[in-house]
Amino acid sequence: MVLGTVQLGLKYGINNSHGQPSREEALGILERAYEQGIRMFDTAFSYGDAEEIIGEFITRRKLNGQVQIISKLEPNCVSEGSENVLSIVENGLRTSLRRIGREYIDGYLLHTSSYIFREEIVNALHQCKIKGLVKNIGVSIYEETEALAAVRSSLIDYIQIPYSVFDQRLNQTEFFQLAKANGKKVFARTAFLQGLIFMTDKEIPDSLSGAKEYLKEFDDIICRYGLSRLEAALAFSASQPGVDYIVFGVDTIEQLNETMSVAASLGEHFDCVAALRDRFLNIEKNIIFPSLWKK
Amino acid sequence: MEKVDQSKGKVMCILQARMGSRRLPGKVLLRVQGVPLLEREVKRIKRAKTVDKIVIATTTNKEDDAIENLAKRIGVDCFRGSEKDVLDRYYQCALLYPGFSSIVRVTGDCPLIDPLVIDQVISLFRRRHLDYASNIQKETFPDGMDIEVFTRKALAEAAIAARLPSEKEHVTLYMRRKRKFKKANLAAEYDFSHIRLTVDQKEDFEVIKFLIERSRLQDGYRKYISLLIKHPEIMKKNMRIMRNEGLKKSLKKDRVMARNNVKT
Repeated sequence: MVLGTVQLGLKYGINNSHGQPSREEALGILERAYEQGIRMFDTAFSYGDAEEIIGEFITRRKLNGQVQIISKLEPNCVSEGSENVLSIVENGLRTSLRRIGREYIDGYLLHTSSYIFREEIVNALHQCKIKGLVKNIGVSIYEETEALAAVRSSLIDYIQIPYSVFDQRLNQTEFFQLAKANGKKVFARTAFLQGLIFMTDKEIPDSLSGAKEYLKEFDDIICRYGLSRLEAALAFSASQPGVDYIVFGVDTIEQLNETMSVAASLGEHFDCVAALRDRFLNIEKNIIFPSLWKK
Repeated sequence: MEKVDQSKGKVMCILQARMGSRRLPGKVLLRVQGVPLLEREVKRIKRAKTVDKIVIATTTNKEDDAIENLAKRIGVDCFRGSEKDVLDRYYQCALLYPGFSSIVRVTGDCPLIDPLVIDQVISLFRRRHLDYASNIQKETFPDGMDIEVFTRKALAEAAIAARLPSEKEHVTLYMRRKRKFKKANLAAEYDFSHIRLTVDQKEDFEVIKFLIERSRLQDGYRKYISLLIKHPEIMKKNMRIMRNEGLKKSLKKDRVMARNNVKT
């Protein structure tokens, strides 16, 4: 399990009634995550103070070398036809390194998924790897075509994908087989669709009212197996053998505790996962892409 | 089928090595896994398909008996010549092996030299009928992958015409400076020039030791690079050491000589 840290640096998530946690709360969440055995943290330049908070946590607790950090390049920072791509990418990475307070990090990803098609940007990332600034490079993707381009690229190590009960698009492609064959590490995010998956009908905003029927169908399936939404969603993401890590976010320590305790005692739940598999295949993108949600 | 061109002639590799080193004395005989670095380097050069003979060229200094002994033990010829005038050492050595029309120059501080890159430089040299080919005219390979190939003729001309101390100490400086020699450079796929795979200082040896312990004799330089990428803390150990420290020193000597000439 990898802890996503966007919530620590920004007010984020549709089901976030707590707002952005204070710095002390954020450090408390990181501390608790570490105690629970989490050793990898996912952050990004664009996650507000998240990089600095992680840096402060590592320095305070002297955990240098004991936790792995993945960050991401600022979105849309390389304009079309830009000549100094390497310096843009390298400066972006160096800025993140400075904020985190490390000489190098474990992973650095492109936050703009379409950049996977821009050879000069992927090459620039690779050059940063050769310079010893980052051990693994990759991309965070949205679309199947991007995922397939990433998994076929010889330079890419890490691929972060959207994958959940409600977003099974990549199961319909050869992505997971190729990822295994090509030795890519796959990180699945949005197992809970930013918390949408936990909302009651009343809490769901009008703009996403289309999600209600899917959640009802979801409830109908999982109640037959006696699973909670959290258990079923986590079991579903974890059951895909092509997923190496699940990236999840929390707003509070309580959510972290709950998620981790479910994850720790997560059975295989084969029957429920099988029943969920290949359902919800035609959900509108404005429901499964949090980036398209009206803010 | 590629036709064998007899006019290509045979290739000998002259590997220059000595015990003296201000920064890390005896570095070429430091051992990793019980094997001296110089022996390891010879074993790797032997894997190059286009090199027909290897000769270690060391100095006449007493301390370099150790190098001659190592050469004897592993069955490689050893030549002993001038310590300071390395160009002359190469020339005198080459004169003893008249059957080789092309000479590869490799230095004893590159235990991880890549035989495949040696073959690539030689292949470029032959394909374009050059006087001099290397992968150092524009530095893109890691430091410690330095490979130069030149004709016997170019070496002879350099040995006779070179005057400056730097040109005598650095065998190919004269050839590289003269326009008349036809030259080309082999570039790496990416810029690896900040990576040090050479042994010049204590930190370099730590890096080399780390890499040897985690690789096989037949691995290429890309293997070392991927190991270093996975261990940036090792890569950073020696990254701040300047490349070609020695050359900078002898260029300074040239300036001293130039000044003295003005005075007299």
